[in-house]
Amino acid sequence: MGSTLDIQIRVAKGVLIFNSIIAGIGFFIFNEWVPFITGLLFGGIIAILNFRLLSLTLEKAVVMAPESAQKYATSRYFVRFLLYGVVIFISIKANHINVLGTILGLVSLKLVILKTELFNDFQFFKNIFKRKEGK
Amino acid sequence: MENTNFIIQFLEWLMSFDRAAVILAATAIGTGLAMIAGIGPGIGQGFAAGKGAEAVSYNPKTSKQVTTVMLLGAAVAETSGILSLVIALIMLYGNPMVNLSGGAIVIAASAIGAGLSMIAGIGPGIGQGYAAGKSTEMTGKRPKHQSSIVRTMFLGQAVAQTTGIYAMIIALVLMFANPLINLL
Repeated sequence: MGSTLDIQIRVAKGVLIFNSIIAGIGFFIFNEWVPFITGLLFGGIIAILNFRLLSLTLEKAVVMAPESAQKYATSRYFVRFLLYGVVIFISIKANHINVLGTILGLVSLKLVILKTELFNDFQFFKNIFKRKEGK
Repeated sequence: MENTNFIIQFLEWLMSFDRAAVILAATAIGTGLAMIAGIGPGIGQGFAAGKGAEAVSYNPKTSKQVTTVMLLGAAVAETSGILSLVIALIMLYGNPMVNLSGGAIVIAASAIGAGLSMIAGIGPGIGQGYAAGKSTEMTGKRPKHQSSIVRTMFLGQAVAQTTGIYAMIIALVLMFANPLINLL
């Protein structure tokens, strides 16, 4: 258990940094910046907690038989899906939380993963577009 | 002479209701349709988990690497589900269409159309999960190549996500900046 703890911490740090930058931008863009930052914080924290939940699910699923791992992962996905639904519902209903901030906070985790794991090596993209006819 | 065209009869019957009621009923259908996209990530993540279990059973030493790749891939595969939820909940609790002026039938159809367009989210959900599953499988076989496998997986997933984002843009345009109403 906890074999992916290092990556969870790295992603959580990334989300906090990313959300701090967005909060800074939101401070200047929005007249009512407090609900926006509250939403961003709310969404960010839920995204991190759901990522932790996903990691616990998958750490359990990898030691199961493939068929039961499929069923287990799918059933747990719908639990997290429900959680996301509740969070967005609360943000829409509560006046002191900006729903745009919450959605940004929820999606920020995916953006951080793409940033840290995909756009961290420009050589990879250079190799894609390198022409090989001359060699 | 009595009109025997079923479609005309149906539309006439539909227009006998209050304008707001027709739009709200269409919104309810649209909301339900949008939520169908939630199936995609479920299937995709299930596939990834199955492949992960397979990979670990073949080569238990790679368990940590396999779980890491699967975790990252599955987290990105969830995005379409969140986007469909956002559209469905906006339609339910922040419905911008009820107060629109213009043809009620066009607005009602747009509400259904916005929900229908979000069904496209199934594609990225399943596709991204499939990419995560295959990457997990290959990490189990060739753990030394983990970083390049992960990068290739994310490149594929990022491209696969675009159709889901297009669907959301169309849904948002139909809800907030509907160009069809001005054509009447």
